[in-house]
Order: sequence, then C-alpha cells, then structure tokens
Amino acid sequence: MKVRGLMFDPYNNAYIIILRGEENTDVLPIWVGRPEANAISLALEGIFTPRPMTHDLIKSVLDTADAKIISIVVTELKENTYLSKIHLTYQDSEFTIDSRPSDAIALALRADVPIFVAEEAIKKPSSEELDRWLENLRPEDFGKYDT
Amino acid sequence: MNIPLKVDAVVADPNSGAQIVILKDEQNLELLPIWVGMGEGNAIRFALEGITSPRPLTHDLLKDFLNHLKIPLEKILIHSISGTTYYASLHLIQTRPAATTAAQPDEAVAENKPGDLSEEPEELTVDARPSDAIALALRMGVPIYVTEDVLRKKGAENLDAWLEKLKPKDFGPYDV
Repeated sequence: MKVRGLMFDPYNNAYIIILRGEENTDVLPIWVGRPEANAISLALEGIFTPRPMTHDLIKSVLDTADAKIISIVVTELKENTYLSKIHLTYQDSEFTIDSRPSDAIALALRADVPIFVAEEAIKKPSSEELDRWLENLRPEDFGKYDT
Repeated sequence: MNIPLKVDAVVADPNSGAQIVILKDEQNLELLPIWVGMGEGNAIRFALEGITSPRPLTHDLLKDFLNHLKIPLEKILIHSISGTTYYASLHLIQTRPAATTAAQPDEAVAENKPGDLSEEPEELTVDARPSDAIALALRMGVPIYVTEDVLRKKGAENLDAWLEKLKPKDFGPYDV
C-alpha cells in the first residue's frame, strides 16, 4: 500500500493517515498523533530538518549498525488499535519488531521500503459510520498525495 | 572530562508551548536547561515518571531495536553547542563476528567451528538531538554525560538571570 493522504480530524483532534492499495480498492485510515503525522509528512514531502528528528535517528542508528529495514506490515486490528511489524535484516539474521503503524510508516518512508497490510486488517468489518465517512470522502480530501 | 548529569525535571515554558528539560550535575551545582518539542518532552517525562503506554512509543521502538539486535547503548554525550543548538551523540556497542579463520592443514576449506569466532566489540557513534538521546538514555538506564566545553559555553548571563526569575509555581504540573 502507499500513503495516499494525510488529513486532520477536528473531531478527535488527531491526524489521519490514509493508506491505499495499488489498485485503489482497499483504503485504510489510521489515526495518529501530531508528532507522528509530522514525521510522516516530512518524509512524504522530502523535507530534511537541520537536526535529525526521532525517526531520522532510528534510521541512522540502523544504517550505522548496518541493519536494513526490508518492509513493514500493518497486521491486525485489536480493540480499535492497529498493530504493525517491522521486518529487518541484521548480520545475516532476520528480525521482526512490534511497532505502532505510525512509527512503522514513518520509517518505511525514510527507508523507501514497501508498506504492506495484512488481509485481516482490511477485511475487518468497519462500523457504518466509518463506511459512510469513507464514501463521502472526495478525492480532494486526500490532499496532494493522490496521484 | 565528561560530567555525568541527571534529568531533574521537565517543565513547561510559560512563554512558548515548548518544554524544557532541566539537567543537573550530581552535586546540583551546574544546571543545563534544554528546550525540546512536545513529543520529545513527553517522551522524557513519561520515562521519568515511569508512565508506560499500551503500545510502544517512538523512543520505546528505538529501545526495542537496540535490545533485539543486541546493540547496547553505553552512554549518551551532549558534546557541543553552536548558537542555541546542542549536539549530542549516542554511543553504542556493536559486536561483529570476527573474520573466519584460515583453512587449517588437512582441510580443503576453512570451517567455522563453534568457538572459533571471536567477537570484536566496536563503538558506534550516532549523531542525535539531546532530546532524543535523553529520552533513550532514560529508557535504557544509561548515563548522560556533558562535556566541560558545553557547560562553559552555555552559561550565558541572560539565561542565568532568566532562570533566577522563574518562580517555583511557573514550573507547573510537570515538576517531578
């Protein structure tokens, strides 16, 4: 999936990351806090800050240690919270690290690696309210990230 | 000589929305205030107050990486200041498997027998903002150091005067 939008949700005073499948059929909105939305937005815009932000630091620690992020997967929805895993290789071994999707996405964008979503995470029956909201979203709402 | 510091408190700057991390040396003689953003201030405060969240926050994630990859953090060092920006570094210890031993006589190919690999620890240094470094150091229980140079340079008279004017009540609810 790719990050297709980043919006502000005034009702919850939070930000929403919109992930969209390659065929534009599956849409996954993920609510995140401001620091995470900021981190993701900086990566999307290709903006480099004068000093390394937290996700830049994580990336740079991994680079210095010669560890490589291979991909991230948003795995499941548990009690309204998405879980996610970061796959990496280090010294000929593979590791899987539990993380929040926001952090995983922020890192995936910096490492330029694929973002996957597990079937279970998409197929979860969403509430009617969410369906209506999604149906009402106009292409413009997705911001400039929609191609 | 590097001076060890402890995080004394995280306070809210009444003038801006920023937070200030107050570092002190062990004798409480030196005081180093560092302005940080909301995310980092919260991360440091949570670590100080022992607040955990159900899902790993960003600095918890960094800690998890280091623990899983077995790359311990030895210390963090606030090593320079340029203008109003402090620079810090993470000091990590990486252990790499040593190169394989040469083929012994009677062997066609060099074999790695268990116990042959000698591990060589290597120190890795990663540039960081002090806020991130402190947030990580607190989570990993490692020392925070500052160079004498930084302590000398930060002592601007204006700053000391401003700090003296701050009354305890200005520190708000974040005081530990």
